[in-house]
Amino acid sequence: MVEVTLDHVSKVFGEGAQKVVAVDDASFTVKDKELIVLLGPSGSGKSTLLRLIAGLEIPTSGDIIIGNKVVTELTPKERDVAMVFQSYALYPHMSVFDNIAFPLKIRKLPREEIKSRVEQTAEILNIKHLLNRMPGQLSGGEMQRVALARSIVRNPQVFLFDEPLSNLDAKLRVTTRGFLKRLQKDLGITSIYVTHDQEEAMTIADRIVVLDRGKVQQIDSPDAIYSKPQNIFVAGFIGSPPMNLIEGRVLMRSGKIFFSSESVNFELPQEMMRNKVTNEELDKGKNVTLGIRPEDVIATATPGNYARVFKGKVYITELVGNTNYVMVEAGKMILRTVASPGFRVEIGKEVYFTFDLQNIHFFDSETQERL
Amino acid sequence: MAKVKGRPKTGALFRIAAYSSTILSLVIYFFPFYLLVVISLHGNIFAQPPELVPANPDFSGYVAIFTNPAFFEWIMNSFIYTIGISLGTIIMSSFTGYAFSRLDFPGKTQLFWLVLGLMMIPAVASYIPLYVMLAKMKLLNTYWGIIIPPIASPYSAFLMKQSFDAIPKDYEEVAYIDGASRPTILFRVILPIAKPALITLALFQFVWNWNNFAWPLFVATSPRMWNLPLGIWNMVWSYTRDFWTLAAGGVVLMLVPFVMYLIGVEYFLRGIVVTGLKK
Repeated sequence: MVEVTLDHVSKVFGEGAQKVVAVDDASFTVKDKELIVLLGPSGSGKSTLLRLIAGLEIPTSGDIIIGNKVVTELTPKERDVAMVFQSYALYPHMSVFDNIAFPLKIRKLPREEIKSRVEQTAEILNIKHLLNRMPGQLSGGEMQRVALARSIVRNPQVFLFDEPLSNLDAKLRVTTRGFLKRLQKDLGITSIYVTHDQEEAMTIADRIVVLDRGKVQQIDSPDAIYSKPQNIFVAGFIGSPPMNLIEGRVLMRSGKIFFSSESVNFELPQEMMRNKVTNEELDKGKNVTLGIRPEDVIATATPGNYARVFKGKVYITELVGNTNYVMVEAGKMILRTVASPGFRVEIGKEVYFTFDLQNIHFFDSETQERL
Repeated sequence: MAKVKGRPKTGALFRIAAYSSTILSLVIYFFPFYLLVVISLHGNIFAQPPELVPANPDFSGYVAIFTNPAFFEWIMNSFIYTIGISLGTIIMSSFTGYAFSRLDFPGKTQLFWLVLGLMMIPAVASYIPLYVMLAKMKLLNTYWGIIIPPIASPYSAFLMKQSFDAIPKDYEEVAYIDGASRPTILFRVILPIAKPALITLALFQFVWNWNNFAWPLFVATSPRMWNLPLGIWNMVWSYTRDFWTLAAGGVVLMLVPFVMYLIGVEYFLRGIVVTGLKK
């Protein structure tokens, strides 16, 4: 059983005025055979974390444990990990066969065994016909498979992927990520995958570690990350288009709880704020950020019979596939809403929108955390 | 190319100017070499009009050189010095360049600036202190004394450092993760990728060391240690008006590097394209 544990790992580059905290006190465990995705924007520390696990960097503090072994100070070879780089890094002077065989040749395995394992691995990845070619003769997708083969052939304990699909075109990316997910499940190797593409993360991950500025924001299944973001960063980062975030206040007036903002004002069910905000805070009014996903804000031409309906003006419409996104100007905010595919309205015209209260989220405006 | 209204001839004028200056530069550069060959064949370039194609080519200058009893010794010494110094320089500068490019050690930046500073100092400035050192070590007039000091070449170290800098670190990192040691990475990954730079360095070193006159003159105190440039110079010095032998000597000296250049240019242009990376 191979688990990967990070125990209060931090990595600091530079000193004094040029000090950069790339990873700040990260702690989590990747379970045996799990595919965990490190997701975050550029500069969030996800690649640094991966490099720390690989042994290409040494943590400033904390420990890394692979299996039952503390590997913090060990070289990559001693950790028995394999890594696929974003650039693939195929040795240009070696054939595909030699590239895949290289890790085995270093270990001085017998020639026959090397040949057999290389061919077997090439068979799995459907690149047997490429073994005599040079990297310069391969397409992007073929290079990626060769890089994968070079990692797999060693039977490592842990797979590490550093944005391996970034250089592929959109269509190939979609087909390849499904292939990668299936391959990982078939091989049953504990894997850590870095990407900035949330769609990719949501598709392939068993769990996602969301990072921002070196700090772990949330670790959860894709479904939980999407439906229960733990803070404003995760709420705004996950989802395409991103979640609407409305700054406002919750307060009690005449025994009722209201949400008040520059764009929308409405009454909230009492039970919605139970255990989230104290009565004292409600009396004074608590600054909160309301989050609601575009698909939970419905735009219509008429008010209809909705319990809660607001008015705004059409800012812009975007038809993506069969989803009709309507950006609505409400007060000083622009909200992303969804309308039926046939909904057509001109820019600047009046439009109504309604919330699905079941799917709204509240965050403390000061701590940024989920209420 | 579409014509720009009102300025139809700009592109053509530019091309004419470019081609003319290129041809003029080539003529200015290659004409002296042509004259050298003409003089070596007894062409009289001072006649009116100058004899640019020898009417009666005479190879006596070449015969004098090739039949000199010491010619074989000069050629052998030239090859020993050239190959010895070139090989030593390539090895030394590869390690030095790799250290500056990839390793972290105290004083690295300051040391690199020192190496760069040394490039500004003419090599001749170090001849006297080196002569004294070699004399004290009893290495004057020896092969080791002639070969070892030029191996420490700041320019070559700088060239290799720049070449290694241009090789993405991804190659090393993936090899490191796959279990390769640093020597394995250097010899099986980095140096093969840097082959075009190594070939270029070898070519430059060969030409420099083949034509090296001043350093062997300083250190080779006896004629049996002379290389070809020294030998031809000494030969001609005995014949004060024998310009054609001197010119023939120049042509002979230029032959081997010229052939090496032709081979090296073809290889360098073919090269190994760094295509294992997707950027």
